[in-house]
Order: sequence, then structure tokens, then C-alpha cells
Amino acid sequence: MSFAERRKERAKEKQLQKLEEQQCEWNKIKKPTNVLFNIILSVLSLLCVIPFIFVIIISFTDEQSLTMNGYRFIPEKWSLYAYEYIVSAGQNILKSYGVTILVTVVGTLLGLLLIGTYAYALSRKTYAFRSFFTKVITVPMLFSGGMIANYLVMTKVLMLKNSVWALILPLCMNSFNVIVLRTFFKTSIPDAVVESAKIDGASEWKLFFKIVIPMAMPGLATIGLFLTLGYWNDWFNALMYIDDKSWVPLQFLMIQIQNSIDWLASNKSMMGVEGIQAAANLPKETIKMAIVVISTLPIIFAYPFFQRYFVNGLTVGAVKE
Amino acid sequence: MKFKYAKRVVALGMAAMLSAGMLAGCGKKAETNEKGEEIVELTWYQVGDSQSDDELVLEEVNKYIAEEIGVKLNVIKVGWGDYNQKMQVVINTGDQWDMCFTCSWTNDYLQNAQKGAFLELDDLLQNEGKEMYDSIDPRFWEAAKVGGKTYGVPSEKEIGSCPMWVFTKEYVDKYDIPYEDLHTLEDLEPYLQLIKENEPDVVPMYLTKDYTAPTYMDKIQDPIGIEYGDDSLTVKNVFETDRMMETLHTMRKYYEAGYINKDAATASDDKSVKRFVTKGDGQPYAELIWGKDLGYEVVATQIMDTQITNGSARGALTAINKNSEHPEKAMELINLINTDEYLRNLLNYGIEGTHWEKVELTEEEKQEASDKPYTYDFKVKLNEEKKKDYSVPYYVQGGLFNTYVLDNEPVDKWAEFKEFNDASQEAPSFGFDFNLEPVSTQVAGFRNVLDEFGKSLYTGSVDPDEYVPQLLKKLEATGVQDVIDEMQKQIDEWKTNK
Repeated sequence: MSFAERRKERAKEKQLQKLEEQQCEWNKIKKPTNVLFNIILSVLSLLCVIPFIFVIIISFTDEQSLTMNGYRFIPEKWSLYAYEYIVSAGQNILKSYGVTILVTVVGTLLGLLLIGTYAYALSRKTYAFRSFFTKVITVPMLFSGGMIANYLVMTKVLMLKNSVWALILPLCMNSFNVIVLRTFFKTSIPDAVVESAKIDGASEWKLFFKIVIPMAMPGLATIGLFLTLGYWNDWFNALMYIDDKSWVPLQFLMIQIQNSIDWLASNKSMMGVEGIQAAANLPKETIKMAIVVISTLPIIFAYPFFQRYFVNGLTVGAVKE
Repeated sequence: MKFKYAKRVVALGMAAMLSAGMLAGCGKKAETNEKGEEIVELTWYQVGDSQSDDELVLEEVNKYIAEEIGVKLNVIKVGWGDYNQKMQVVINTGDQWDMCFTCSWTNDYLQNAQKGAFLELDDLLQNEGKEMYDSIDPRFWEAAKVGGKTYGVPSEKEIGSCPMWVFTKEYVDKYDIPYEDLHTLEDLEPYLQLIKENEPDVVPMYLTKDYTAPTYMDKIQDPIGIEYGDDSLTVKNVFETDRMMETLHTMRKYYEAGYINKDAATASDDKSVKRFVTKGDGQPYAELIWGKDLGYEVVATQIMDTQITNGSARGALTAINKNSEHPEKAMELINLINTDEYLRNLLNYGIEGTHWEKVELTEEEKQEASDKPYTYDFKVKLNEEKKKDYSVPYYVQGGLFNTYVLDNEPVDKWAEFKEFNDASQEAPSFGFDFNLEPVSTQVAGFRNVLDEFGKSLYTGSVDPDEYVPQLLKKLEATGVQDVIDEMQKQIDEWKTNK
């Protein structure tokens, strides 16, 4: 790009900005209203953030002062014990952390590939078995075989018990996601683009990877976010299919601790003294909170990462009709 | 053309990857031990959270049992909250398992036995399990019978449920309270008042949402059951008994007098709250455990005589899968665990030298132990560093009476348990199993009604004169009378056949 061209572009941008500002004048809300809205929104966002900040504070609280005083925003005594415990004694926790990350990354990529290709095929009018495969994908969205049937298929037919695939495969194909993405492809990829690429000699694969995917980034990013969150928060598959400690994901570890605590608390009269003993062996409150913190932080960063693509894709305008 | 080829390669590669993963699980070679017996692997589902040293201990256990009886164990531990659901799936899908933990409070023994998931053990118990069978209190075996057949091996522990008042020792000492003479709810009144007047920041009676007022009845199907001591075996609704109404009125009186914390119906146990008395479900020496949990000393007294019900005597059992390939081996193993001192303590406390050390008894303790049953020459001192890596619920694996006691426990702990069990009375309904099949729809509605009223009534938060009639009306609507009639019919049949 030459210097002159660049200058021209900049000038154009400035003009656009001015125009926007002018329009803003018209759309501006009154100052008091603006202040009011800001206050309302700040309160709402504080309501969302405060519990999490509280969790962080508790995770840094000394266990002793927690039992003595209960939860406090400014604890009597700070402590790093919970994190020390996770790093030193909780090898399981770090191992599970690894499993969760592995499953999330592999699962999201595999899921995007499967869902993307399936949805793309369904979105093409020239595909011969379109209606048949649309039906195939819609049926499981409405009907499900239930827990027992799933379990039998996974363990007896696919032999996936205690395998990391049992954590990845059940979540990577999802009818709802396919339909969302199919609609997205249909509306945002004009036939003309596909046609012109074909005329230029692109094969089906090249067409998909080089033309369709870049154009469909916002859609794929949405599905990618769904998948990432789904994998990151999944514990049910682990409950069903994983008995081997080395493949337990972090969320399952956490839900197990929580379930145990809840269950022991609500069955006190039946368990008697034994319930107290069992509860004493479970991780303490601060450690629980520390696990929540370390399991939430990475997923917070997933949002801004995917957000980049939402904006990117919207600027695409390829066809003039 | 080129792409087609590449596609095939990719597809083939993926298929190979998947199938390699599947095949890895299959094709094991038979192992043998030194005696030349073939070693069989048994899968055992247990409740409780998995421990970091599980494998380490299991390896030791396997070394021992492979030589003794030619068995290798694969233990699968499932967390407290998930065990029930997981076992339903495992049992209903006909999954591969040999033994599992079962009881009245999770993975329900009665239901599983009735639907035929468990193997009948009576023959095995007379052969492979003879030694163990003779050593366990016959009343446990009686409780383990469903329709005349035994489906599980009970873990010998406390046989009855024993509700207790738990007092904070500090205040008992300070005001010189004769706690040992206080039993019924009504007995507590003067002392609650005393504490209320003199200790403003102490809750006289601290209750939480899981509290149930003292109930003098075996609630076979909550809220329906047979009152303790009612030998005529009349099925009643607990909220229609005079005893319960009296209790609820007293609770209401205490609540209104401010003896009970105001949030009792919704609170969960907060250890930072100072309390004078609370209710607990105990066993001999339970005060030691409560005291450790709370961080200060407590003393306890029994609310009523200990009663043995089906629920209490089925506190812990080990069952064998109906479809197990090696039921004899499984029984041999259960027998060995319940009779072999080394193996039992290994499972219980972990590896000697790593997780615990043997401690000799003092002269005094030896004297005390000399003429009592279930006492041993050692106590166990847990390794402070390592004990958190292997800490299991003891009764899940076998009976308690052949384990060593901890160094901070009295040497005659198990003898005391035995005495406690011998002193427990059998409730009139002991041995009766209710088959709720004919009235299952009615029973399903009870839970909601009880959840709605139970907590607030038990803790005295609402007036029983106003709310009990409401509760009864709602129960009536769900068909409580049908259930009472059905239970009465079944219990009459049971009585004539007894």
C-alpha cells in the first residue's frame, strides 16, 4: 500500500468518525438519564462480580478464622494455605486440571470440525441427501435414549469406559449446534461466493477451508464458545464413564466434593457419627474456594478470545447484488 | 483423485486410532500365585471419596490376598453424593461387578435385594463364610434377611440408632448441670432457661434444618410406622400420635421462649455459633468424635433406650452380584477381611510404617483390656503427615470389631460397642420389610408434604395446632390411608407367619 493511499484511507476514516459523532448528537440521551443508567448498570455488574471476588477472598482466608468468624470480606487473618495445598498435596487436582484442559482443547477442535462440516453440507442446496441428513440430526434433538441406553452403548458397544474419548465424544456432536450453524452458513455465505470460487477451480475442501471458514468465523466462534464452555463444565460423563482416577476432570472432582458435603449434611441423622468423620476427611472450605478460583480463571479468558472473531466476521461484505 | 486417496488414508488412520484404544482393554493373560491357583480379579464398588494412596494400599492388599486365596481386587470408589445414582446405573445395565457396598441409607439394600440384583448368600455363608458367620452377632444376620434369604454380609458396628443430647462441657461444668439425668425433651427445660438468663451470647438449644424432634417410633415409611413398645403392631401416622404432638408443643414452647435459634428451620450447622445443647445421633464414645469436630469438649446423654430397627441394623452390608463369575471367591474374600487381623487393619488404616505405627498398650490399659472381648495388644498411631492420603470410612470394607483402636481412643472401644449392642432392644417392627409396590404412587407424594411442613414443625418455628391439621389434610390428599392400610395388612401377615 502506498503512502498516498494510506493517507486517503485515514482521511476517509476521519470523515466517518465525524459523521458518527453528528449522528450521536441526535441519539444522545439526557444527562440525568445517562447517570441513572450508568448507576443501574454498575450495580448490576457489581452484583455479578462481587460473589466471585468474595470467593477469591475466602480462598485466601485462614481456615481457623473462617470457622471462628464465618465469611468476611476482610478476614482476620490471610493465608496461602489453600493454594499451597493444591500445589503440594493435591496432585490429583493438578492432574485433573490437565485433563480438563486437554479435553476442552481437543474436544472443541474436533467438535468444530465435525459440526462445521456437517452443517456446511446441510447448508448447500446442491447436496443430494440434504433432507435425509437433516432428519438424522433432528431426531436426537427431540428424543433421547436415556441414561441407561447411553451407558450401554458407551461401555458395551464402543468400549469407551475409562477412556478419555468418553469425555470428548459424547459432547462433540450436538444437533442444536448443527442447526444453528447450518442456518448461519445459509444466511451468511452467499451462493455467489461459492460459485465463483468453484469457477476459479477450488476443490470442495479448499472451498470449505479457505473461503467458507474465514467468512463464517463469527458463527464458528459462537459454536466454539458453546463447546468450550460445555467441555469445561462437564462432569456428568466423568461420573458415568470414568472410574480411573487418572482421567478425572476438575469439575467432576469439585462436584464430587460438593455432592459429598451436601449429602452428608442432609443425611446426618442416618449417618450419625460416621457422617461427621466422613465430612472431616473432605477438603476444607478454603480449599474448595481455591479450586473454584483456579477452575474459573481460564474460562474467563475464553470470552475475550472468542469475542475477537465476533467483531471480525461482521465486516465481511463480499457480494454485490 | 488425489484428494480421494488422501481422504481414505485419513479415515483409515482415525479408525485405527479408535480401535487401538478399544483393544487395549481386552486380552488379559491369566496369572497364578505361588500355590498355582489362578488369580481372579474381583471388582468392588465402595462408597467414599477416593484417596491419593488408594493404589499403594491396594497393591499391598493384592499381594497378600493373591497368596492367601488367589484373588486380586479392583476397588472403585464413588463419592458419597453420587454413589446411589452410579450404582443404579451399574446394576441396571448389568455392568461387570462382583461386590458392592449397600445399606439402608444409600444404594438401598432392601430394594436391590427385592428386585434380585444381589446373590443369595445362605449356602456360601455355611461354607466359604462359615468362620465369619459364626463371629457376627446373629441379630445382624436376622436384619440382613429379606423374605427369609440373606443377600448381604453385615459389617459389625453399632446395631441400634441412638439419639442423644450433646452438651457443651464448658457450661455443664460452669453451672454444675446433672446432664446424665436428662433424657426427654421436657427434662431440658430448667437448664435451657438457666442458660438463656445467664449466657446472653449462647444459643441454649441449637438446631439446624436436618433436625428431627425425638421420635418414639420406627418410621418404616416416613411418616408412617410402628411406635416403639407397641406390641400390638398398629400402623400409625407419626403426626397423629399423642407423643409426637406433645413433643411438637414443647418444641413450640421452647421456640417462643427464645431457647432455640430463630433460623433453625433453614440453618445448616455453623460451628462458630456457641451452643449449650444440640441433638446428635450417637454411639459409644461418640462425644470424642463430636468434640474433635467442634473443637471443644462435649458430653452426651441418651434421649431414649436404643432401639434396633431394620434401618439401623442394615447400616452397612457387602453384597455379591447375582451375575458374578466368582461368587465363592468373593465370599472367601469377605470372610478373610472379617477374620484376618492383618488384612483388616491394612484396609482400614493403610500400610504399617507408612500410614500408621503400632503403639504398645500401657500397663494400665493392658489391665483394663485383659478380660474384655475385641481388645488387641496394640493401638494405632496415625502418621500425621500421611494420614490424609489414606482415610476411609471403616465400615464400608468390613466389621469394625477386628480393627485396632486409635491411640486417642479407649482400649475397650469395641467391647463397649458390643455391650451397647447387647443392651439395645429390638423394636416391635424389627424384621418386617414393607413392600411399597402396591402404594408407590401414594408414597411418592409424601416427600413434598414432609419437606413443606417437617422442618418448621420439628424446630417449633410454627404452631403445631395450626399446621399439623394442615399437614394431615395434605397427607390425606396424597392417600396416606391407603398406605397405612396396606402396611397394616402386610404386617399382620408377617406377624402370623413369624
